[in-house]
Amino acid sequence: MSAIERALSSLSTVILGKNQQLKLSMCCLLADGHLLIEDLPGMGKTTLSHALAQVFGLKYSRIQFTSDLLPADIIGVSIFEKDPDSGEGAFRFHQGPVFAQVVLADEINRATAKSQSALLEAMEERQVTVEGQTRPLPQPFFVIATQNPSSQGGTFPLPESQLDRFLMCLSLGYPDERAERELLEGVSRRHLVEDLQTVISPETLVRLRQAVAGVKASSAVLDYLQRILAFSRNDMRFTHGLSPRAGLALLRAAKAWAVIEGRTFLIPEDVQAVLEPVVDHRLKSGAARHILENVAALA
Amino acid sequence: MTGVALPRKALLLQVLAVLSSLVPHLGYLPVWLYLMVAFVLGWRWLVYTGHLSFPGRFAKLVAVVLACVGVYALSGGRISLEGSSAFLISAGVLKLLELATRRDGVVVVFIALFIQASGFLFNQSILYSLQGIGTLILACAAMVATQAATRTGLSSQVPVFGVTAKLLLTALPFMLIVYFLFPRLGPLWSVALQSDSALTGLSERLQPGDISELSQSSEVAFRVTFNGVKPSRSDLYWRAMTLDKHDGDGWDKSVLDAAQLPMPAIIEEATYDYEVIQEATGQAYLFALAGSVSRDRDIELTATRLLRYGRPVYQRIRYDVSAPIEPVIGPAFDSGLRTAPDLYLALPSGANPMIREWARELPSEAGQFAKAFLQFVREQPFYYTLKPPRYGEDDIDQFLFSGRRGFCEHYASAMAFAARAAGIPSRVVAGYQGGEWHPDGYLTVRQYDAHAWVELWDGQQWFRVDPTSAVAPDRIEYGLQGALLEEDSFLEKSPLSPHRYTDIGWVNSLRLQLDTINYQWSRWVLAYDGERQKGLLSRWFGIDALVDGLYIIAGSIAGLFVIGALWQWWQQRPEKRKRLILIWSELRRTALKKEITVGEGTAPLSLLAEIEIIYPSLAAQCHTARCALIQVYKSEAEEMLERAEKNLARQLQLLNRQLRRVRPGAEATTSGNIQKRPV
Repeated sequence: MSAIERALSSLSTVILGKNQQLKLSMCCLLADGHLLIEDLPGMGKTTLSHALAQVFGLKYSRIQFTSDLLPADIIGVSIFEKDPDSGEGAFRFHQGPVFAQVVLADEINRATAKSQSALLEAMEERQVTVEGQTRPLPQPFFVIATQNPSSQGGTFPLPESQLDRFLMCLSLGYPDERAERELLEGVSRRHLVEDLQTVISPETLVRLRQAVAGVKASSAVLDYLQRILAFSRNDMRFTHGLSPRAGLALLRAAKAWAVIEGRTFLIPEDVQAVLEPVVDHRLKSGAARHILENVAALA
Repeated sequence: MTGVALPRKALLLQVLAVLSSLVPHLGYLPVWLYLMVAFVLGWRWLVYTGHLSFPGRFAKLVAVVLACVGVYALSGGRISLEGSSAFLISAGVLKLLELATRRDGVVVVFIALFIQASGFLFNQSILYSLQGIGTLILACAAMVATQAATRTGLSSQVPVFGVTAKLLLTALPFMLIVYFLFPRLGPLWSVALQSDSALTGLSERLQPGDISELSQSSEVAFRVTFNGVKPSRSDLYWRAMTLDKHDGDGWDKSVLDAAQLPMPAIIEEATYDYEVIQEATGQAYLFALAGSVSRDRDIELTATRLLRYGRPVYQRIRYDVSAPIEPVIGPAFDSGLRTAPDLYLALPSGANPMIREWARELPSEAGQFAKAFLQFVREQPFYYTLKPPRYGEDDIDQFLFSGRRGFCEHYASAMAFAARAAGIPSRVVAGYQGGEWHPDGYLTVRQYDAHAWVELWDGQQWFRVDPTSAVAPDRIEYGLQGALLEEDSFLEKSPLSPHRYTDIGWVNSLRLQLDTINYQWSRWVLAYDGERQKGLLSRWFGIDALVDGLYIIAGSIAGLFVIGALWQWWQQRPEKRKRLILIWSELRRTALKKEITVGEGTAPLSLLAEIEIIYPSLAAQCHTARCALIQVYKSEAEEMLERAEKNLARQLQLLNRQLRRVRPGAEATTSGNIQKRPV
């Protein structure tokens, strides 16, 4: 049993009946991308984030986003302190919760744009600049954010620029009947999460990431990818097309999917598998389906 | 699928191109068509501003029916030029009402160009040609703007007029090559103009008042360039037709005009050599001095020594003529008389008794008679006028003995009648007299130079007598305007005509300059015909055989185009990769027929898996195809990929063949017996 399969099976003991979503979230982390989980409250978003961090054995911190959250609450703040030994006073930087390997940004869209943006630099550059000083973030660095659907009260929708920084956007959905029953009969998920074993060690993670980078993309598949990009830019249904960054993200995610599937080369099915979580939040809901129906896989 | 929406720039340019293309048709269109244009433009504007939507199917139907009714009313069901162009224009203008997508835009641009081109049937002067170039630029720009339209409407980034200029300049050398070298083919068919008045000129019957009416027009009838000696003004009698049948009312064209003589060899005496550029007349007669011969093709000599064209002149033609300076009107000239001697003496019985009485007292020798008649006209108080009274019964009597006011046709008619009454064969000749010498040396003859005079037979030959010269010598020496100075009736109905103001220096010089430009335009550009082409080609390339040379050149140009097209096709020929796609889409079609759900975006491996599930008997081929497919996805180097794709195409084709043979539903029952092959 490979490390990935083991990780998936231990995750599925916590999140029941959501194998596809688990696979995709794994894929997202392997592709070194940030993950956005969008769903109604109480669907297990936070549990999934916790479980992921546990399985990967990463140091994580959790930030609960609220409307009065300030950037300093995320990044950290300098405080004037007296050194207990020398007795001299100086400003000392206290790291915020963003200095962790996995940052769980819970209900990210409940914060105002100002605080949302505080995460921007961290997510893209993997560093933060405070008071003119650039501080690198630990490696690896993931942001797993959850958000409530924008139809819910008290939400500030994420701007496109920020959405684009999340590699994938997943939604969990209601569990099916059997999973629900199991959920009701079983023990508290919180305990289960706490008991999860680290399956993928940092070394394994590095190895897997190398495997992802080494996946070969033949020109046949790259053609398909480019057709998808061109279609998204030309079709009347979309107000704007996929950016080059989105194209790169799609390729990276597809490669990670190929690794999960145990292959060393890309096939169009990889692209198709990750298309919806990668594309929908960048264009609009239903975009991936429209693309799948209209872009020829072989041409 | 809805097309690409038109950007507003393209829309504007298209409407402008259509409007511009209507310009040469102004004046030839029925009134309702102007109203329709205004209505359509108004509607399109309201659509543009969002106050109205595009017309529905019913509204369009009504518009088309109305236009058809209008065209029918205009032409009365006959096929005529005006009717056809009105139909074309109404259809083109109505198209503006459904001008919404790129495809419509392309159609409208072509319609605009066609309408403009059809305008040359009415008018070919240089001003209209320049206007045509304007339309061409607009239409081209409209086409560029239309084609630049994309789904996202990024056309504003295309410099429309820059691209247009580049396109037209690129096309210019080709245009010149085609203009100079393409074989000049004669018209294959011709459509008569709707109204005869559209073409002004002499008609085949001369009645009192005809020429005076023609004199109201300052349109050009023809232009002449003399090479070498120029005749004096009083010798410029341009014969067009002889009229010898008098029915008491008017003079009709001679039947002998239809009879043909062999064209004599080159005249040996001193000659006037001249070139005529004649405007369309709708009739076959040409204009030439007495005794003229022409060696041009299609030109015939009639028994009455007129030059005639092989077919009605519906477009401007050019011909070279030689005429003797002293027309020896010898035996050849009388063939008309020999064939029908009585023709030139026949008079309707009864009418005009006074002139018959009077003529009997005149000398019966032709020369003497002419002198006596001219003397009579000179001595009596005759008056040369464009506004003669209407003479009723016995009109020649009334004119000659009481009214004494008339235009050239009255005098000619009276003299020819009197000659016949005196026993001298006579006929009326209709044509033009004089013309305007241009400073650049050519002669412009206009409709108001139309004239009628008399030819008498003196037993040996026909000779010309012009009774008008007796009553109004100025008409012959200075032209109509000079002759009518007192009466001030010259071009009375067109007060703005510049021809009325030749005494105002700058108006006259402006008019003359414009006339020169138009003359040179018709002489060098419009009159460039097969003959000239031949001359040019033999000068340039030494190719004498017209047809051969032209067809060689046209053939080689066409050959170049064919080679270019083949090369283009070779560049874009279906490649191996394309072959793969063809087979792939064929396989998908077959799969659909065999009840396998497959969409545009279905990935190949998924389809193979699907086929395998539904038709297990094909598992082996599916597996082979899958391996081939994976080879394609695994290959990196270009030649490796090529090989893999070739193999994949073959395997998919095999699978397609096998799949075609299976029967949907048949396997479901038997699949249990078939061993699934390991994949």
